[in-house]
Amino acid sequence: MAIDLVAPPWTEQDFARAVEALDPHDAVDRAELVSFLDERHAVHRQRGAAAVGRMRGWTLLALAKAPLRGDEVMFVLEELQSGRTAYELACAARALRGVASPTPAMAGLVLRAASNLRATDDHVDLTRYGGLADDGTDAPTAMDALMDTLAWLCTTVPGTAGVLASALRSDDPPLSPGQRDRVERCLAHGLPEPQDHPLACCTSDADWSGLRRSCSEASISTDAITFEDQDGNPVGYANFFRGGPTVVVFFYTRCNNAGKCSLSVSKLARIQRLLADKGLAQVIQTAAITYDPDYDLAPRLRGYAESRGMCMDARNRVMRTTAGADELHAHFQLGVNFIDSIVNRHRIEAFVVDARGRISASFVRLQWNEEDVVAEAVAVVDRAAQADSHESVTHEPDGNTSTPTRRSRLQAWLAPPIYLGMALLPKCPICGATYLSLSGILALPHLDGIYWMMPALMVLTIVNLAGLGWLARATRDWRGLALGWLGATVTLGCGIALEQPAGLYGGIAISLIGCLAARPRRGRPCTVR
Amino acid sequence: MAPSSSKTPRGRGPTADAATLAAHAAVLADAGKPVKQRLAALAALGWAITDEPQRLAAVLKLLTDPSEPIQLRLAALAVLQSATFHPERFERIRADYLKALRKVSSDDDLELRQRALGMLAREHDPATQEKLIEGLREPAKALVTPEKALQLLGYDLHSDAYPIARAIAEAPPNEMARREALRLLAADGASAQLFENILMDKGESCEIRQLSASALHNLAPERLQACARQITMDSSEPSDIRSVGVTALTHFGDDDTMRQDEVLNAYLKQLGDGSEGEDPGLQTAARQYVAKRLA
Repeated sequence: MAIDLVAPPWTEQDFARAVEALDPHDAVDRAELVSFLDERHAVHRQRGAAAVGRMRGWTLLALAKAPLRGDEVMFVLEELQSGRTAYELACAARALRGVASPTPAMAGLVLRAASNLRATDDHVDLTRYGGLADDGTDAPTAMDALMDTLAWLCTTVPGTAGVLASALRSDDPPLSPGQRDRVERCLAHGLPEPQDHPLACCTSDADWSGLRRSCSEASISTDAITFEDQDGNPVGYANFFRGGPTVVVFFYTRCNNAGKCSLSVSKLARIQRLLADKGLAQVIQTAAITYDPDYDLAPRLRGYAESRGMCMDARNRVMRTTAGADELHAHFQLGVNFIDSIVNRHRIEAFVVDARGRISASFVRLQWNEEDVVAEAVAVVDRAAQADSHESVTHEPDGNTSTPTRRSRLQAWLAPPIYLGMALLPKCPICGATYLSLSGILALPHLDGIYWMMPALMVLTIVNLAGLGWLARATRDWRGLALGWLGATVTLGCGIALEQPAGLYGGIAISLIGCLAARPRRGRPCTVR
Repeated sequence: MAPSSSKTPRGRGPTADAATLAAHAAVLADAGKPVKQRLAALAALGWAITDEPQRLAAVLKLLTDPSEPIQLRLAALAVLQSATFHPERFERIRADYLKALRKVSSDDDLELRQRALGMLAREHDPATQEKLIEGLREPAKALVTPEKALQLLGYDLHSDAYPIARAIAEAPPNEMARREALRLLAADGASAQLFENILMDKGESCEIRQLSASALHNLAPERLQACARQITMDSSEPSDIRSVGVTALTHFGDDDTMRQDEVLNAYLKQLGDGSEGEDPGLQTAARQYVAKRLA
């Protein structure tokens, strides 16, 4: 039975009944159950955070009635690693026992869940939806559920004891004395550590890194996305992300789960330090983008990031969207949902974006390792460098490779005239006027009776000098005026008065150079203030 | 049991041996003893109530038993609450403590009920949030007054209380409930326009307008600046709210905008110099503006 999302309102109890009616052994029903665990699903929209937690917990329990495989396991592990509420952790612990191929490393995540539960334990009743036991029944606690699962791992999965013993020795994750006692009791009743089952082979969690690699051309346009950074500066998506490969994390300042947003931004700060140590701080950028742009204004962003050790400059920014939020969500496929303006649920998300603004790698759901993210970013840099060198090494028709090739040699020959032509191309009214003046000046000697036009030439020269003087004053650059003055002197004196053709053309050339030299300074638009 | 564990929460008094603690526990459990004696026994037990499961169970039973004297039940709640300051001890009793609190959160005694709801709300207890919201929607089911319910819901911004808070802000059962609803909405990014409207409404009380100014500063500082300027320059506004406007411009105004606003600066300089008949508080605020912005 599917929930009629087209015709809300439906209650949580409706949802619970719908989930119960789905058969986890049926592929279609199972796909629908899994879809409920996607934060973007419409069932989560406009629900409180507690309601979303109850719905997810109930869905996990339903899914675990059939063996959990592949990506389904990620939802359980994510909850154990980052969950904070008793009901959700208890549901995840129960669901873990439905995993088709449990590994010893999963015991580490159960310990993490126990550590998370230290300040939030409660009685839970997993037989009913949202089951917090407040009706006087003697229900177990969430910690009981975790320890039951741990005991199950100890007795069914070889190698679990080694993982637990190692965690207890290192006190990572930190457990209370009471919790340690309970874990040791599990250990006492567990399977002996197999001699031919070294720990390393069982604890590989590479498959759990949440890493996904992709580099397809984005189908979502990012042109409309604009940000404001921690200093209130406007930043366009293309302007920032096309400045180089970027490590991006998403967060919001009001997140009350210390294992998600706060930790992500702290880890991004560590990534900055790692990049600096590798000399890549000027090559790879970092960005933290808030899910909550209405509330996370620039001063809040700066304070939040600073207090977590982030360095901020033009290549490392903390940003909120000012336009194109929908496009941003679609581009990154962000796992987040809202009730009104508040985030009600989000997953952990970090991305490596290449210099074309495309997502190259993503780390979602499970905690990412800073070194892994840096390695992915470095790989993007390396791939870009290889692509550049590949472009300069093209293949000859006969299949041989040579550097430089005929094509690149041709480019080398053609480049200077093309660049010179582009440089001399008139690009504004003043440039155009300069070229017209040049044409006119060059044509003057060929006019009949030119020497009878002395008064007109004098007037034009004075106008030219006045213009150059005005430009010189505006730009504080007097070289153009000086050359113009010299050119006028040579043209009128040597060229016309002394009737020396060389003086005429030389004076014209000097005047032309003066006009070009009088252009506004570099870095400013080709206009006069 | 370590002797030091029997100290009272404040760490005062002599350490007690197991026999003494057992005697105190027996007095506490004896309904036939005078209330004062039982209260003294409870105080003497202090954090030692968490040392043994039976002793904890007895105190929790005392808390949840409606037939016990209310002074004793409130004292039991206070001792249990003090144990929350000792995380290691509290961790062991937390689940049972929450269960007991949920039970007394619908107790007949208002004080006990309200305190239990407050503790649960601070724990972001979803069941409590649901009860409080339900009480706001259906006053017949309300466990506490609407203003108290809104205050308690404000402990968790992720509770889905904003829709009901907005409804109460628009049609409040009383003025205090409206004030609490607005306080709750001060963290809601979608309510900036609501606060701007209230701030600019001369028919609203100064207290509510000040609250709105504070909320607007939280949600949309640039809009507060525009409103504050308008209020400051409007001599028909009450002096109190104009002082709020000047103070907002003094401390939160954008430097460049303020520097270039010659009309405002001249007006406040004149106001600070001592115009006849102006409120002294407003003049002081104007002088502070001049000292900070125009010095």
